[in-house]
Amino acid sequence: MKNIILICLLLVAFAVQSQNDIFGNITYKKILNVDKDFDGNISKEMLDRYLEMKKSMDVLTYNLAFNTDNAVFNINKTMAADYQKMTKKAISKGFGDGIHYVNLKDNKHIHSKMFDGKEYHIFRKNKLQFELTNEQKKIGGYICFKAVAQETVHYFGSSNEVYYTAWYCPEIPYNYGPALFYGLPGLVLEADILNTKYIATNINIIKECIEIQQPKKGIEISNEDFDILLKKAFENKYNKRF
Amino acid sequence: MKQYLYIISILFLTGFFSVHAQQVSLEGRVLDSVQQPLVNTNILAIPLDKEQSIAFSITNENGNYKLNLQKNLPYSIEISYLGYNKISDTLTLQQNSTKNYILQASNESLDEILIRYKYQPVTVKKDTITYRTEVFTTGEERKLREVLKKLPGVEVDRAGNVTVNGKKVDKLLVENKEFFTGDTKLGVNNIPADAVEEVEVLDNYSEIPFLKNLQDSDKMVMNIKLKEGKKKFVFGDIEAGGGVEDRYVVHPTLFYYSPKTSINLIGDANNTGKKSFTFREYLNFEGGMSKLISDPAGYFNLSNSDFAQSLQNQDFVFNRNLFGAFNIAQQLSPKTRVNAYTIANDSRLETQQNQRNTFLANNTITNIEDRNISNTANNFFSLNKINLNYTPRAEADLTANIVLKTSQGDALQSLTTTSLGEDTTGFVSTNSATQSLELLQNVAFNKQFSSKHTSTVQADFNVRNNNNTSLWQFTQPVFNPAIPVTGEAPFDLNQRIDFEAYDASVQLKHYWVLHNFHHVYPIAGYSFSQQKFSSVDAQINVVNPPDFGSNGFINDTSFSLNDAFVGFEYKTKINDVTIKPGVVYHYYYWDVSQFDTSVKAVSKSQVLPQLLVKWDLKSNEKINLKYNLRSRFNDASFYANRLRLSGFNNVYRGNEDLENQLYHQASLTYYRFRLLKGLFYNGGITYTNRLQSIRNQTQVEGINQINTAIYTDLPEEDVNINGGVSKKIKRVTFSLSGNIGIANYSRNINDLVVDYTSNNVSYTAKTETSFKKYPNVELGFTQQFNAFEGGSIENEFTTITPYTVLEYDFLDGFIFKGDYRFNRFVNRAENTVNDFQVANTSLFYNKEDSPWGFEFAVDNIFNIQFKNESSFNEFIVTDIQTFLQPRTAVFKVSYKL
Repeated sequence: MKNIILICLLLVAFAVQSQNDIFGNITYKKILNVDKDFDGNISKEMLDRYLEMKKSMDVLTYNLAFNTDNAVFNINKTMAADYQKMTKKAISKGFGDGIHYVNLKDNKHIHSKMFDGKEYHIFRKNKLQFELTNEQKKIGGYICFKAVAQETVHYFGSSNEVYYTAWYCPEIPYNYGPALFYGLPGLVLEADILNTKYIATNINIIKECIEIQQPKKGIEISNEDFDILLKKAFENKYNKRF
Repeated sequence: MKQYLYIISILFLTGFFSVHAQQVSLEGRVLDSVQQPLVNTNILAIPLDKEQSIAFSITNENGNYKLNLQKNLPYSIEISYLGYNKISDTLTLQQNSTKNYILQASNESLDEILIRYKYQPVTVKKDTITYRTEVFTTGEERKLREVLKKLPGVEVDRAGNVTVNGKKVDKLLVENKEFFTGDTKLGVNNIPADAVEEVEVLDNYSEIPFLKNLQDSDKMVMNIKLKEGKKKFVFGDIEAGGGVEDRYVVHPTLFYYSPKTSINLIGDANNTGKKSFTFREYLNFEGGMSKLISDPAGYFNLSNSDFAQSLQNQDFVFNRNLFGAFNIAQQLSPKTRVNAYTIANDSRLETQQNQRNTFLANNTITNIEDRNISNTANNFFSLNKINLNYTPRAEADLTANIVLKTSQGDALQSLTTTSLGEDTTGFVSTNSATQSLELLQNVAFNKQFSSKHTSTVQADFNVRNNNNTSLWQFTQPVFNPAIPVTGEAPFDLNQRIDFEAYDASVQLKHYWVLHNFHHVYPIAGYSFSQQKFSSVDAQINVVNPPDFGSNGFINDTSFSLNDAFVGFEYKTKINDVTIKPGVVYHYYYWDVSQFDTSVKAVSKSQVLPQLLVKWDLKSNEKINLKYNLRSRFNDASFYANRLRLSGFNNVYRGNEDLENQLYHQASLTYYRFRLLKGLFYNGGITYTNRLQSIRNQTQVEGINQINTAIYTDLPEEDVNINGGVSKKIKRVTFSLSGNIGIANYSRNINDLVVDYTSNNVSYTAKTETSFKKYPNVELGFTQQFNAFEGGSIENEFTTITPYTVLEYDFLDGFIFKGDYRFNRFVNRAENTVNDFQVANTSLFYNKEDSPWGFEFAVDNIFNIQFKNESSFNEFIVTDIQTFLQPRTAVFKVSYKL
């Protein structure tokens, strides 16, 4: 399956010259990152679960809207068909739920989402440190370079490594991308996080002004503290007898 | 990564070894020949005294390690690192010491290194820890739990819950596959120790290997790798016991495991009335909890099936069961799985009841009857199922089911009836025999054509067959003149009822995504049912038997029903509100014949609208509204328009003019939770309004009734309101729930239409604890009010039930369980009060890791003989005295294979 990328570089030259006035809208699709052929390797139960998830995830699309200083990334609202049973999970895979808001000037990123009836603004104390590699590939005719980052996520008594892979395109010199990906020297056309892959399908650099709304007021919380809240909430949920 | 390893070593050192006294530390660095630190090197301190624990550390980014060792204990220190020669060292420490080790690069070939690598006792890779168990075990372990307890950082509690570095293991896999139901306890307590080759702990695991590392799967999974040649094994346990009055229990459970096949055998023979096969085990036969989470409707059907209902205890005087269950799950290929089971039970059930029936008609008490009933039933049933699941490609899957249910039984009922007013006593004995067979076949196929088009096809074919014979023996003439009995008492009436049905249906549903927010789901199908019902009543053991046929008895009815339907659902979403209206058009054609002569042939169309609205007010607050107009047909027995005996004092007549029952049903539910505060609310209201119903029209005379089925639009409506709130404070949960039910309806009794109102209100308040170590208590209080009014009857009952359940683990090996329930039943109309109290208790002892367990259980401690309750219907108020099984005391011994 080829990814067709439509690019309307209406005002690229203008945009590059006059850094103050860039606006863009990027559409991403989301897929489960299956790196091996699973035939024969997994049990029937696992296969069934995987297929359920795939059915629900295949139809999801995301939008990245940005101007010179700010960007928001969020899901394009959708409605699950009756046979799609895991839409909620499919959306939240790879930090895909809620809204990602980036302010490049202040080097600020928040992941804003509703949880337990309240709006939370989740920030990272330690920003992702991307390491730029020489590895390159073509995506939609554009040469992209690979950048990787890793992060240790602590849970109680153990910790996990989370790996981030981005393919950014220096030819499209905007420092944004899906979810937690920003600040790279080029637009991120493909991103791989927690085995979920975001792939750009439509790139629109436009003239008219895009106003980026700041997220609504919410509770500021670090991602570590938010994980503690999650753990507490799930304990309360599952200790309850129905 | 490095931080991670460091944390692990710290945990090992502090958490696992802190319990030991007299500790000294050994620390230092591991370096290579050019003094560069070696990161992630394993350092193992194996005490020469095998009784003592092994200490273990992994070097950090500077090559530092730290071991906490026992003072004055000789240790063999082994240091291994991929590509370097292994170092062995022996030492005994008197005080805290420092020692650096230098590893030499290995000259061995890669093969040899790989072999050496394989024998590393513990390897830590990203988020996977692998233990080679033979390094840690002594060979005397029986079960996996004893192996796990010897691994550094791993703890196992009595029940079989496992924690690694303080974090609970959520799932147990064997050879990367779920072990039976995936419940850790089953595997941990049963897998033979000598079959275990490696234990892998995977943190942040997801069920699907390539979904690993997903954000929301904070799960820890343990995978057991089996030794070559020991991949098949058997385990299980047997429980046997006896008690006073010849009580006995034998309950073996056997499992067979191999990578592609798993078999579970459960037996149970007892005369204590306890059912050791639980609904949970039935669920596991059906594919376990995980399968049913994705299919809540399937779960609902299962829990309401006849068999699941039969697992619930009822009141009896004596109950003996001989039970056997067999389940096999076989993976034929990665894409094909077969699951089959057989459940069979042979039972004897004895019940006993005394009743006082007050008959009311037209505002007067027409009769008061005392009735003593004792029942002895023998029944054998079997339930057999084969399920085939095939997934040829990612976009399609096929499931096929075959279910066979058989049942046969006989029952003897002795009944004495005394009418107080008339001062007459009658005695009726009923001998009945039943035989039934049900064969259900189902095939479902799903296919996804594109992201916009998905289809499902489902086809069913069922055969049902049921034969029932009854022999009534009356000491008095009955139903004069409806029943033409002749001769002298006793009068013997014989009845045979046969029912058979063939049902076939096919249904097609298509999911069409027109646009993100506009979906259309067309549906079409056809179902056909062919049913035969016959009843033959006769008087036997008499010289000139009367002709029942000419007196309006004897049925030979066929009923066939065709239902062709077509319709659609439309689904849309406006902001947070999902709306799904739909409509299905049914075309029915049915015909009824009696003695091969058609008596009725009707075609009818029916439009059934439906609506579903889901409003997600917030992420934690939801409102759902559901409305359906529903249509139901009854089976052939309702169309059999001639008389038949349906009880010793009951004659029934069907009606060929019946049509489909039709009713509106609407429900509104509200759900809100605050997970962080442990607060849950829910509420709902359901409303049912019947447009057309099939009801009995009753003629009551004395204690005798003649019921005739009628198709009626007499008003009938139900409202049910329920709500609940629960709050968890630390390990204590408080909850309050309530229910209000109001029903208004009319019945035709003795040619008069009478209106009835039935109201009931109930609430339950309870507190339960979920401590890990303390005794856990549940304390609750339930109160229920019933009021019934209509025609000549006005009745009010109140039931009050305080109860408590206690569970206490103490003295390392004892478990005490007890429950107590007090029941007060108040008849407010007559101002009578009935109390009874039930208590059960048991004490279980099992020394940890011992295969033996002992239990002493006493049920019905107060040895109460019966309980009193009341019930009522439109013309009878019944006070019931139900006899119970007397106190039982049983001592059981269990042994784990």
